[in-house]
Amino acid sequence: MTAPVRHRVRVLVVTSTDARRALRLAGGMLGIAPTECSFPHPRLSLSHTDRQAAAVAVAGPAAGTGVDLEHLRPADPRTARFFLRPEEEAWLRRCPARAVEHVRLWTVKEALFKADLGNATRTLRDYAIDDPAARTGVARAPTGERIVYTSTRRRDTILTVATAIHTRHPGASMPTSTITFDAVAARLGRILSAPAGGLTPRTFLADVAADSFELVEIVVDLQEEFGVTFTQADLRPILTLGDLVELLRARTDAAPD
Amino acid sequence: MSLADNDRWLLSYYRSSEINGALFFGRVARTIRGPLQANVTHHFADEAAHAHYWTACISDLDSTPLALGRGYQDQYLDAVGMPANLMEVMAITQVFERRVIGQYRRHLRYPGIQAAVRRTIERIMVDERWHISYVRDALAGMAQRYGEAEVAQTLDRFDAADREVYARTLAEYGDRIAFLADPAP
Repeated sequence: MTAPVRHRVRVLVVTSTDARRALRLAGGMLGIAPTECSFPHPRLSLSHTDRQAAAVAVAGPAAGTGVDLEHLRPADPRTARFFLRPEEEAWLRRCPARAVEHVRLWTVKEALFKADLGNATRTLRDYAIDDPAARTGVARAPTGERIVYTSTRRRDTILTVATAIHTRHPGASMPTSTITFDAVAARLGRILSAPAGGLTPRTFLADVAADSFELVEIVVDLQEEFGVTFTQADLRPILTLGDLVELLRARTDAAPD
Repeated sequence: MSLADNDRWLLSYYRSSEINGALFFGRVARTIRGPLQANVTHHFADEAAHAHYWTACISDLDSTPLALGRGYQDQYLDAVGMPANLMEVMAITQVFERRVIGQYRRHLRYPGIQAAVRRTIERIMVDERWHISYVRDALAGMAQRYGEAEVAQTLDRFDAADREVYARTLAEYGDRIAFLADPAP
């Protein structure tokens, strides 16, 4: 049994009729340009309908962020089985406000999916919501990872934001505040025997690692140094040193104090 | 006594795989902290020593090692992707060591095995059994950090990849090791 851990995050939600503008404003909070990020992203997410867009930026312990925005409209009840688990579907069948809740649960599942960095092989039914009635609640990815979410309704739209929470193993030797690109580049410089000054956030990992063994050394060394754990799904979208530092920060931020 | 072409190729393949193992564990040994550091460094030294044993064995049999390119480990990484963390490094090692022991046992059953080859394999097998043992213990100790189910799933995934890589290796080099006769485990 583990003690409950409180995670404090700051969430910025930007809505706009222009998805690119919403993403630019939300990314600005984290110092990330839209051209520098790919999805799924640990701390940024974007959703849009034909009329509106919502972008979310999370500052704090997020290891995956998802947002989904939907207009309320009639939905065929039979489609629930495609995204809800049996117990969630059973709750929905008993719910008086079934039509609205159908759309809300869709946004919850979409946001959960986006908040899971390892979602490549998953479906919406893989995410289990603890309490389908809760507007703010907890769900679990197939790995057991906890994802918290909150849904809000504004006029004819429903918006759900989700953030994944990772836990950190003991033994980190470097405090979060010192995880800068320069600090990570200096460590890599020692492994690669390359001058750290030549490394930039846009440097491709494939260009600096001599072979796959060296890549293994890099990722294991950073995890040991910073006391975090990566998965293959985490590493799949990582192309540049900037991506790697961003992942490292997200994982370290997600550690309970 | 000189080596037949296929014998020479196979012993060179063993040597090359041990060198790759040493290079891989050298990388891990440089970076790992904590109680596993001593065992992983020992493992790295064993792999390098095994490569030396095979070099000496081939020389005793009046031959020279062939320079082979990509090793078995490279094919593993192609099949399963790069190990993402220390648990995956240990899991891939466990699966690989089991395959190595199976292959060496198979070679020991070959009636025409040269005495020098038998001595070399028997010497290496002592270390390989220890590798299996300490890696198994390390994985058990990692269950708390990574989750018992995640460790088990990773081993299953790597086991499946191992069977695929071995089948591919047999398809590519089967004629080289056909003299070992009995089917692969």
